[in-house]
Amino acid sequence: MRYRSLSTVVSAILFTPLILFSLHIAGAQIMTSTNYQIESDSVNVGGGLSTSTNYSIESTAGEVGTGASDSVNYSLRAGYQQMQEVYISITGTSEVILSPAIPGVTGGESNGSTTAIVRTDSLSGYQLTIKAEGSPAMQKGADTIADYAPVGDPDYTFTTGATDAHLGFTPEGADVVQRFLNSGVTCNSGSSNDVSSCWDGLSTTAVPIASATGSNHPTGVATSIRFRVGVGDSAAQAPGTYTATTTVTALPL
Amino acid sequence: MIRFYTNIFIGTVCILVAQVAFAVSDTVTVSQVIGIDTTPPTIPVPVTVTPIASTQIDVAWGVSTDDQNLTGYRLFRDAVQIATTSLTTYSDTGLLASTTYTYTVEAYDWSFNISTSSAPVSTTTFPAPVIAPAPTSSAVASASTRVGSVLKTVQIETDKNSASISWETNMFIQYSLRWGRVSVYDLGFVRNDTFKKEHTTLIDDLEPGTTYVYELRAYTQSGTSYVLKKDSFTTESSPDTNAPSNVADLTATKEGDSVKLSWDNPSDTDFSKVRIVRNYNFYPLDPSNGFIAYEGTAESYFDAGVLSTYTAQYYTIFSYDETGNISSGAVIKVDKNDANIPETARENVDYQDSEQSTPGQNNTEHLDVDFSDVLVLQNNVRIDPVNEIVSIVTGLPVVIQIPYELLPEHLKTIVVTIQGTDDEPVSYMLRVNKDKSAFEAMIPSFAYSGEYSIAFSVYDYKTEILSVFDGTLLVKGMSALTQFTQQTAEIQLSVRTILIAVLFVFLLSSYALYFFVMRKRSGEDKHLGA
Repeated sequence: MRYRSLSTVVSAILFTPLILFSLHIAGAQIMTSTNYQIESDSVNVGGGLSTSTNYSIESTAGEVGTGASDSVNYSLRAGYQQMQEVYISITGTSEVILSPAIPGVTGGESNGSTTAIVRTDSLSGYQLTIKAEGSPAMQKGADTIADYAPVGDPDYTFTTGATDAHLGFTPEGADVVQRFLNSGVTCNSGSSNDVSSCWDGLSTTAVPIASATGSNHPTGVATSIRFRVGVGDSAAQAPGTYTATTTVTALPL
Repeated sequence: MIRFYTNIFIGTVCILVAQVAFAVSDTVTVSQVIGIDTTPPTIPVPVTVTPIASTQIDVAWGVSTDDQNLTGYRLFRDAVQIATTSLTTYSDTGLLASTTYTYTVEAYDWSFNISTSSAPVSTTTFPAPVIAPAPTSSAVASASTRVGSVLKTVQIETDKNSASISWETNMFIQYSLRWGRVSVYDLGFVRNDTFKKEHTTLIDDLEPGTTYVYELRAYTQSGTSYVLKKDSFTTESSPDTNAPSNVADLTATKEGDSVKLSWDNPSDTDFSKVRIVRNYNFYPLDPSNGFIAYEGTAESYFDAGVLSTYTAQYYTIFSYDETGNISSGAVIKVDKNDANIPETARENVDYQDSEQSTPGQNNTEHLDVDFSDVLVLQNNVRIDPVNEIVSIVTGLPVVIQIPYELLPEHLKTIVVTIQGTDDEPVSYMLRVNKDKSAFEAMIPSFAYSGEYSIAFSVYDYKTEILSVFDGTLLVKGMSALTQFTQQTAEIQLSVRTILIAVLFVFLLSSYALYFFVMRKRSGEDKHLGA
């Protein structure tokens, strides 16, 4: 009985550091909790001089990331793991010229679209937003075309009254947010992303139009943004070229 | 001694800072051209003004031209705009007698570029008419004889819900028009205040395929009135918009990785074809919601190797009529891993649980709909349940409806499954009907009497079950009178057959007897001769 207890104590003394060491080595990986995600970490042991016949290395322990230093021509990321930034890009967008020209007296509708391809390696995904530089978005000097104004959720069908002259948009793509999905009748309901449905108005506040919860690198995901101007036959819209400047922003999550 | 070093904290903070600062933006410019034309139209000339009555002047002008798109004209009376029109004539009414008015006209294009105003032109209305005394009987007769010479032509064009009546007279008149289904002309009345020779009026809100009578009356500038014409017209009939019945007795048999479907086509006289659509996710909700496996008039189809890629397939068979109306769809699911018969929609929703509960009640808490909300119609007559049992008859199709307002907007579809005591279950899809008042399916007529269970499965847009509930259909034979009539007809047919047979036997026997007698007599004659 006595020898058995002694054996147990000796075993504990010998194996406990090894177990703890193994646990810490295993902890060198990406970890997540409800609110946070650690994308890069490391656990280091010891350090010092190691030699062989041809080489010698002086390793370090407890590395420190110095941080970023930027100038006009260069950006320096000094220190341990400083280059591990999240990559995100937007490509594919272009100027949108709505077509056809709308007669000022009879009114009508014209359409156009652009596509934003977002690529990111962010493991938490991204969010794509759109906002207008002015209010209303579309202007020509003192003359303006109103922002489309649905009541609450976006309108499943773009509707123009006799006295309306307004600009609307709708996003289409695999990552479109719930507000622009539909049930075939109403928006912000259902899971369909019907073409030319769920119309909303631009705002100077950024409005989310697409989001994802994981990396899409390197292929990326395209979100098409469709714009439409509707002018009613009694709107008496002044002739000329109206312009809306919008900003599309992709934010890694 | 073993020492541990870590920089986990430092690394994490650095990454978070990098992410927040790394949003990318792009500017998108959206432009729209509204009527780029800046050149106004030409002046509308010449302008002519013609007094028509003491209260009316007709104005006419020449056509303007524009480099882009001439849109219309603005008419001014004494420098006040009184009308915009795309025509080149205008009847100005409500004027004062013996009064001079001045008119000008402007043309405008689609960009609201406006032409220079035409030169002003003036004229004076006629003096007020002398009111004629009340007509005597001879005057009325005289007016009647004058009708034929006043009305030159009448033309009526009808569609389903309206009629356009145009006519021409050989003098300027105002008119009134009354119409109705009988000669009291109680459905409508219009009267104009413009003296013209050519008139057109539109009567709408009419019923399709209905005959209407009308009376057209003229009012002259001298104040007299008389009937121009009494006649009738008939609106066009409505096209067929009724969906055909679904196919009946849809069954499926697995043969390895293949599936054989069998069904009975509907008996609708205008039935044209069926389309089989399959989908491995869910029952095809419409004829284009999946792979089109078959189209035609056959009553079976072999879907070879369809279970080799996906272990389960959902089928919907839509029937079409000659007009293109489509049934709600008969549905069935085939699962490769199910050792039993192919699954019906009822089995698919794990109906075992609901069968343990009380029939006629909603067995989930998601949706407050149960069998008492279901409308059952036969021959356009609603049949109310008695003790939660709906009694219907054989030989007539059955329409099943659930009012639209009872169901949520995010509803995807409803599947109803019907099963007799010894029959295989058959499932049908309920779709929103044409006036969007209900989810509806037309079930083929029942061939046999008996008690049938009827179960409903309500799916939301994620194809998840919102509700399952069931009820009972009690199918009876034809009514006693109908049965008696049929039995009488059958008896009459039997008696007629027996009479014909007896007559045939009688004639055959008579002929045989005649032949025997004649032959015997001929033998006796030969014997006497010898």
